[in-house]
Parts: sequence; structure tokens; C-alpha cells
Amino acid sequence: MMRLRCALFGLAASLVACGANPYYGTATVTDQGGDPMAVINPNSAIEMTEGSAANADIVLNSQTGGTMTGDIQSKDPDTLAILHAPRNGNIYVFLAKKAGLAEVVILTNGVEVRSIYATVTPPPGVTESADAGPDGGDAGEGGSASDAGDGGDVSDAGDAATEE
Amino acid sequence: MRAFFGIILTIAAAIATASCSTPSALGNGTFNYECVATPGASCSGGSSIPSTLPVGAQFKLTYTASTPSTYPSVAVDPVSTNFFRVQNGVWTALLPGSPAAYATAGGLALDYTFFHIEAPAKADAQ
Repeated sequence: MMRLRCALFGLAASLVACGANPYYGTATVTDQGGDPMAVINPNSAIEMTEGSAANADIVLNSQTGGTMTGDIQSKDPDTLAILHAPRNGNIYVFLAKKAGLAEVVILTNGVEVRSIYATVTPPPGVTESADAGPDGGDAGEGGSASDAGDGGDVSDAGDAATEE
Repeated sequence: MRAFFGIILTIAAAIATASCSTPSALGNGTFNYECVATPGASCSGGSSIPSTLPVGAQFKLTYTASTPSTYPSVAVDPVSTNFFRVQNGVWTALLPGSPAAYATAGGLALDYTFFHIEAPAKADAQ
């Protein structure tokens, strides 16, 4: 019984120490469609313009190059929503719902292995006041965008993930 | 000879179908557009999304999946509510730009399509 406890404790400690699945490597993006200006690269950057949509076939790879089962999710779906397309689970649809930053995470085996902040920029030619126009309260979105100062957290997160 | 005419009719039907709806990005079905009101112009045309729409244009938008039995209930929404207001099924274009609309069912993104919205003076009368 004591051995089992030690083993479980060791497993939990190793998971905490590693922070996540240590075997995740990179994501391979192919067949991007939709908004040609969208940047869809979960390894380095996701950039879209508010109101636009894009899709991509994204495969998660281990450090040894094998394919991994996993998922890409947005923690801020009101800013950037990420949905699956039917039939092919590797096809993701990115919907830029409003200007601001959205944390996007990659999970393998249910464990968060990477985090990146996606940027949704206001539509070209739309001033802040116009952006806030339709429902007024959206002026707060400018606040979200100006939170780009938090980008420090973003790169920090990326570094941490890279070190895994 | 009958086979030849059959092929011709099939092709013609396919072209007619294609021209009456808007192809989508993911190819899982078609978006169906219905003009409600266009500023400075009268509604005309079929169920294709016009190449451009003026700000203020009003329309209805539905989506028909290629396999309706698999997705009997499809929701269609604007990606950004800053570009479109939707009330009682009627969409109103609010801002110039190239916003998208998307169709979902069961938590899946079936498809999406783009609009091109311009200031009223620049847009084609549809």
C-alpha cells in the first residue's frame, strides 16, 4: 500500500515538475482557407481581423515526429472561437469575434502542453469610436486590446512551454 | 441521343442550382440569402449572396447542409456582432468590411461564408 502511494506521489510529482506532457513537439498546419490575411500557426502566432473566419488542418506532433491525439481550444471564445469541422477532427475553424487577445491552448491526452495568445485586430479603417458604435459597450474591447501590455505574459507562457 | 440530352440537362440543372445559392468555405452545404431591403435599390436576384452589400442592407440568411438528415437544426450567426445586427431572423449590415457568417450544428462549425459590405454610395445596387 505504501509502495502504491509512493508510486502515485512520484507520478503526480513528475507531472507537476514537467508542467505538462513532455512529449509534445509542434503543430503542423496545412490547407489553410478562408481569410487570406489570417495567420494560423499555433507554434508561434495566431492573428486575425475581427469579423473574419479561417480554417486549417492542424496535426499535433510529438517531439519524435509522431502524430498525437489532442485538441486546440480557445479560453476566450468570445474573442476568438475555435470549433471543429465535421468529419475530420483535425480541421479547426477560427472565428474572430471581437478585437482583443485570446488565450489558445493545445492539449494532448487532456493535458495543456502549450499556450499562445491570439490577436484579433479591429477591422481596417474602423476607428475605435466606430468600433464601439453598434452597441456602445464595445468600447471596452479597446480596453482588451490595450491590454496588449499583458503580452509579456504571452511570451512568458510561450517560453515556458518551449522549455518543456 | 437520349443519354446526350440527359447529360446536358444534368449539367444545366447543376449550373442552375449553383447559381441559386452561395458556395461555402468548407463545402458542407450552401448558404441561402433572401433580400429584405436594400438602401437605395429594390430587392432582386436569387438566393446567392450579392457580391457587395451596402451598409444598411437587410436580409435573411439560412444554411442547408449537404446531409440535412445529419444536421436537421443549423444555426447561422455573424462572426462579429459589430458588423451585423440580427433581429427576428433579419440581418442588418452595420459596417463596411469583409465579415463572415458561420453555420453551426451540434457544436461543430459546418461552414462559413464572407460578405463584402460597402458604404451605400459604393455598393452595387442589388
